[in-house]
Amino acid sequence: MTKKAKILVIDDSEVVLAQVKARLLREGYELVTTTQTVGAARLMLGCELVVIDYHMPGMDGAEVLASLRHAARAIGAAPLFYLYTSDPKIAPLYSRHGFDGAFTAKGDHEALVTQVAAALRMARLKALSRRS
Amino acid sequence: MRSSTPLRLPRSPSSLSVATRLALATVLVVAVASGVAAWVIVHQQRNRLIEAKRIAAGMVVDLLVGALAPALDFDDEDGAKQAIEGLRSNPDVVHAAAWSAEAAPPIAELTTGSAPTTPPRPSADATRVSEDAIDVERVVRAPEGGTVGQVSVRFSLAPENQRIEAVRLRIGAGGVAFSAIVAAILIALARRTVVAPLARLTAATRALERGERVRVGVSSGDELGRLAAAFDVMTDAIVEREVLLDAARGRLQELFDHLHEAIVVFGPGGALGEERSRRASEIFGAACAEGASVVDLLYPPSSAAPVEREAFSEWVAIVFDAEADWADVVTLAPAEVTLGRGGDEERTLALSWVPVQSGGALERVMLLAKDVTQERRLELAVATRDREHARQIAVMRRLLAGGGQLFVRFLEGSRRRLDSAAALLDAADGDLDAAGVEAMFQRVHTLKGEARAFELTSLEKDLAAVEVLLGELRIPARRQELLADPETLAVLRSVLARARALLDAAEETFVAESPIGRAVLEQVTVRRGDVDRLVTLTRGAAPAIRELVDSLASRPFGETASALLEEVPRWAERVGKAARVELEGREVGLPPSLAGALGPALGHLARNAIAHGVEAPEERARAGKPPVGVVRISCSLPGPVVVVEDDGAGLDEEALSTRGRSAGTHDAPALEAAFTPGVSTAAKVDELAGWGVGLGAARAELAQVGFEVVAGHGSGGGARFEIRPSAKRRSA
Repeated sequence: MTKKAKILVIDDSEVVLAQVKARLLREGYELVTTTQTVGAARLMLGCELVVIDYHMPGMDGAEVLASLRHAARAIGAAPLFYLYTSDPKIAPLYSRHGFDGAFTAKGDHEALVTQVAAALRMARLKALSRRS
Repeated sequence: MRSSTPLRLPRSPSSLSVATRLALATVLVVAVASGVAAWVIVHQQRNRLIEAKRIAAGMVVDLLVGALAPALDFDDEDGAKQAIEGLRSNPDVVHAAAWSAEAAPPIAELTTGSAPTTPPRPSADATRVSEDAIDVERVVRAPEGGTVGQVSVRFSLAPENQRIEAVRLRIGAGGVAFSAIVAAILIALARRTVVAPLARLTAATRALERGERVRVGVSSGDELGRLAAAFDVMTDAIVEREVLLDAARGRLQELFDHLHEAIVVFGPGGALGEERSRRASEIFGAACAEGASVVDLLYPPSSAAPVEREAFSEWVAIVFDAEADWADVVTLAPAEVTLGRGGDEERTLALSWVPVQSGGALERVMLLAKDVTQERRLELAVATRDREHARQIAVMRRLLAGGGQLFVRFLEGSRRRLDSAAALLDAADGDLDAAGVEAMFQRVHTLKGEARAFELTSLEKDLAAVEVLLGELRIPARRQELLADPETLAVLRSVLARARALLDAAEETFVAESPIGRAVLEQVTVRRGDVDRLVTLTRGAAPAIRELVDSLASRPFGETASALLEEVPRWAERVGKAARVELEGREVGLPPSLAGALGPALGHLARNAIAHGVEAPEERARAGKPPVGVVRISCSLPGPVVVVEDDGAGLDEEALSTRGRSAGTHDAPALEAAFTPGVSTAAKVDELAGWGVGLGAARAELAQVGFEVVAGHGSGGGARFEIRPSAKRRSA
């Protein structure tokens, strides 16, 4: 059931995006990728998860997140926002920056697959918990 | 036998034993009974003694009255006193008095010991018994019946009282002694028949509690004996059931241990139970000990990704919720986990979850973890091969579409980023502000990610180090502090310079591996139809334009020849030889017509070189040559001229001449015979040569595009074939 989720990945490197997209597509996810933070909001429609690189030219991930959250509210979307970083110092601070969670070990695509699955499972568990 | 019940035999505080309490009660009862009996006996005995004494006293007084009557009747005071005095010999008489009818005071009185008060004159016969005396009173009458006086005598009961007291004491002592004896007997009997069997029963119960099998050992036929026998039967039943349970548990454990899955069980909160299979102990070790957390087991805090650990913790919390539907929740459990990811001990487990329910409620969850590491590695290897195959196809497509332009763009972009970073450092002039640090960080971060994508590991590591350094600088930089540390800036410059050097090295490697050499760096993708159209349109144009268009339409020589780099060694290996190709002039442009015909021609010439030129390794060793033969293929301008030369034994002109004559070419030079159809110097036909058609076919193909091929001897003694424009083409 997690295989059909639509995921938006935002990173300033096309190469990184191509690799992430190829790996997650193999898992059955629907992928949308962009290097542009401007206009990324319209790509969020239908997405359950938005994965954001923390370091991008012109603004950092926290700034991108703030603008995307604002845009998400405007369009009535409520995806999960996850930080994607290999920096062990940044990862634990995700909540301080307003992210719902952090994917670590950036570059290890096998690790990314299991982490994405866990994040989507956790969202469903929390929804289940709220219902009960 | 083992104890599995949490119940414990209560240990009461110390108190008097049953035997002691029974004895005390008995002593009390016996003492009371003895007292009552003694009182009754003593009372009866006293009554008898007093009655006897009363009768005797009456008789004594009656005798006295007989003796006093004449004295009183005749007013013989002396006689009365003598009669009274006669009582002194009776030790029981404590007082006696006689009154005449007329006188008020007694006319005679006897007192022994302490003198009691003189009693009043009796008025009638009477006998009064008190506690310590018997008073006998008589009226003394004359023979004719008239009253002549009164007499009163008091007899002491002291002797009788003493005897009664002695009897009471004897009876009391006997009662106490009897009670003690009875108590002792009762205690001994109770200890033997009640206390000791009960103690054995208690000891047996405690032993049973400890899991030991014991017999109570009471063989009497009374209630306690029957109780002990019942206890022994119960013990046997318990032991038998425990044996059956142990056997069942053993069979179950054996079943667990023979399963390939690692099995553990956990309850609310994720605490592991004591049940686990042998495989679980092998895979998880001490981490699956009873009471440990299943979350820590699958997602160790030290190595698991936080999001995975958090998700599983959430699942464990929800799964035991009374309102949770197992069918829904189990779909949200992890299906697979990888332990020690990236390490030597990496292990992938496929997870299954089985509910253990009691009374309709989920009591525990059984986790079955199957080690699928090898399967996943195999799948990964297959997938990697598939991806590699796909990648190779993609590479071919990219090459067909314009070469490694993606990598070229990466090189160009990376150099721009390095230039930009260097410019930031130069502009900083010792003071790198927050914006400068941030800008540098972003450039290095992106560059690092792309270097990883192209597997430029050294470059990626260098840039990661710079990223860490810049990351540390971002903190003071955000506080608007300027960075004036020359050492830091020097390090940054040094690493950026090394990154540039690594990029240059990567470019050189790329060029070296490219079929078309440095031309790959300048290659652009254009439509061939457009080029052909351009060639057509520029026919008759000025020579300079024609030359430029021809150059545009040309194909790099390496594009045609590079396939031989892999094919020649393979061909040589098939015939037991070793050979390699050296290419020169890969970037030289070939006219499209020649590029189309040259590939097959070079293939013929290379196969011919292996078949006829390059010797077998042992033969080359005897000739002092390296074991691996070399086929050099070069392309140069003007012309272009392509030369194929090997370091083999060279063309055998004599053999060619002989074969040429046999084929009817009597007048042609010997080497020309090599191109004659049906002429071959090969001793036998094999998959590479021997049919005598290869070189002739190559010459024919080249001739169609205006090129000729001539055979000769190389500078090293091997065969040499030169492909060059024909005279007709040169003149045109």
